[in-house]
Amino acid sequence: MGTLSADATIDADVLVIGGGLAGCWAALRACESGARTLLVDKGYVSRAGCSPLSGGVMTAPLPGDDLDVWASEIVERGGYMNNQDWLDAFLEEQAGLVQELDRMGPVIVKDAKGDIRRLSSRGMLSVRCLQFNPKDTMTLLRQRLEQNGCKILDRVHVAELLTDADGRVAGAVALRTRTGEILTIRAGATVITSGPFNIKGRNMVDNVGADGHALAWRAGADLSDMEFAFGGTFSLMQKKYKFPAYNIALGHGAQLINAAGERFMKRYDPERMERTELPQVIAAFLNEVLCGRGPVYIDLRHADDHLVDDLRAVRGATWADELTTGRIKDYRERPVLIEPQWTVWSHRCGIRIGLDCSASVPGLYAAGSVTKIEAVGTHASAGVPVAFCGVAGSRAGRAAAEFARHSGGGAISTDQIDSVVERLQRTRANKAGEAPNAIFLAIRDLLGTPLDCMVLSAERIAEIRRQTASLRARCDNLSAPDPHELLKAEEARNFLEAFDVSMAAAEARPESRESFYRKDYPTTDNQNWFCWHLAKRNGDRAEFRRERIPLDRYRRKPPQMPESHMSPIGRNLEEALHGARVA
Amino acid sequence: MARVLLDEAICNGCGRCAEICPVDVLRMNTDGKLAIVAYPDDCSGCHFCVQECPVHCIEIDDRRNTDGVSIYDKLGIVDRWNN
Ligand SMILES: Cc1cc2nc3c(=O)[nH]c(=O)nc-3n(C[C@H](O)[C@H](O)[C@H](O)COP(=O)(O)OP(=O)(O)OC[C@H]3O[C@@H](n4cnc5c(N)ncnc54)[C@H](O)[C@@H]3O)c2cc1C
Repeated sequence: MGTLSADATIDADVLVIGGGLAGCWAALRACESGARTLLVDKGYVSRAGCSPLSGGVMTAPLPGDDLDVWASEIVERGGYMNNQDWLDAFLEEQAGLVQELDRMGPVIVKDAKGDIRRLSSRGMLSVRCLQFNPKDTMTLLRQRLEQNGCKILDRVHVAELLTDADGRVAGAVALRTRTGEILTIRAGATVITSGPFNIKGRNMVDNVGADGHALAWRAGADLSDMEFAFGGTFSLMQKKYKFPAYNIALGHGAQLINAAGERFMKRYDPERMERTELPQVIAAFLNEVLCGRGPVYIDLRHADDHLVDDLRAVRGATWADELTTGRIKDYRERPVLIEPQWTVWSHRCGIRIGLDCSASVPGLYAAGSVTKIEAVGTHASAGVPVAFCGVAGSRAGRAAAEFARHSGGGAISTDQIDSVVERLQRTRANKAGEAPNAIFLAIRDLLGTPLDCMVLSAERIAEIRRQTASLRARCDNLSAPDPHELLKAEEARNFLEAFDVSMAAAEARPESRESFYRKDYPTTDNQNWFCWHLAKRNGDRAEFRRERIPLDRYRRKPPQMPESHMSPIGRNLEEALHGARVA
Repeated sequence: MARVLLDEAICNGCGRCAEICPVDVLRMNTDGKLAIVAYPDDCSGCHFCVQECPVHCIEIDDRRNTDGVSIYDKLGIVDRWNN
């Protein structure tokens, strides 16, 4: 017994895994509740994760706003699939958090009178957002945590959760990513705040992947709506330049055109055109390309003169330089080749949480983008994800502190610890295996282009699952000469485990809905699939169940809901797949 | 994938980049006096090191996103405007 056990043991009341916005707010609230709090991050708290890189657009209710109108709009846009209890709590508490954020002092864009200046959220009429400086905010949160006595450990990767004899989550095994030291953390309650489901190499946040999803999954927690794992933007133009500024460019008059120079979005959505929901724009892009009207260009010839200045204001020189240094040639003279991505990037699926942010296993809590953001339905308006981090993080931190005080943390068997240590040591000792980066390259090829993962079918899903299984087998033979590589080996395994749950969920869902599209079931089936789709681990398999959305109890109800209708992606791809030209 | 370009002749060894790099690509050398690019393949292109380096010795080349698969290449579609 204990021959393999960890190098050191740390005790805490509350363990928080991941120091982005959600984790920092959770840790702060846990400290304020009097809990001995340990915040660990495999990167560096205040610079790792999505939070310091975010665009800084945040849903921002202020005194005097009619939040009922906001909620109705968010529910309508969410296809009535929101958890409305969560939505009401979210808006109400976010109003308080906006004031707290302002008092903390990061840059928030204000008008001449010193009042917070707000913009309308994409696609919304009433909902308003503020703009804040996310990097400053993270620095300030880190300082606040240090002042409040929170213990912060950077460069610590959580490899596995531990449970006690009563099935409560009672801590974790972690790896110091620079020294290779293995830690046992005993905690009364644990909060996962490890960020969205994301694939390395695409979104500038490579330390965020699927660790938290996989940790929760292996501990037996429910995951929700995992088939909605894909998302896309026009952020990347694959060839010779990088210009992740589609939304900003549109604001300055950019248009999408096809090879014939036609502003094709007119045919798909005459009213909103390029501003329609991104999955639909990407479906239209695919349809154009498949019907021989590609490539597609972003036309900046008539963009206004503020484009470059605004790019510089949001992102410093990096994006503006693409235009000004000639990497993107003569954008005033000719259209610029553009190509979207459609890949794993989602806030729409994740760990299932209750109103107190508890996961379905006792002692485990989650907040931020690793959870399915319960307040939103099929569409999150811009600004919700960062706002949700504050509200859910606060709730999770308080509830975890409370749980730790009353019922947390029994004894952990050494067998559990030993098996994780053994797994880590086996990879370290393997001298002849593959490098983890080979797996990430293979995942990239598997996800392919938008054509490969936006247009799903029973055959395609089965093929993806076959290839995922073979990549998981390759993960058994990874070698890691140092702890940095060991971390990546763990990340690859976790990503593939969560991705397979996602594809199993896709297999189990014979319909199409918003961003989820199957060409063998192109219609939205409200009779059977207007629900939340929950996954639970049973041995090596995923078990699914559908949970009714309690519309009868909710205040906002749809006027009428057709039993089924053609899904929006299906409609936009009609011509390419069935030869019917859209209007 | 992006590339970190670090000019060792200018680096003053303050260690800030190695402290903050989210993906741990930058480290200090063995005597702790100079930053080094320890894992050149793993830069995610966040630019935080560039923004925080007090002597401006770091640049990021992130113009290629060749690590994605291009649908144009896959379908053999060619650009008509010579971008
Ligand atoms: C470029 C960009 C722009 C965006 N713009 C906006 C916007 O304008 N408005 C908006 O609302 N949303 C925006 N988003 C989304 C938003 O930023 C995120 O949803 C939000 O910041 C997520 O916060 P989080 O705290 O949940 O996770 P993150 O901030 O991603 O933090 C997760 C942390 O967990 C750590 N971690 C992960 N796994 C482990 C592990 N196993 N052990 C230890 N630590 C771990 C990571 O290192 C990371 O620091 C944007 C995202 C990106 C990438």
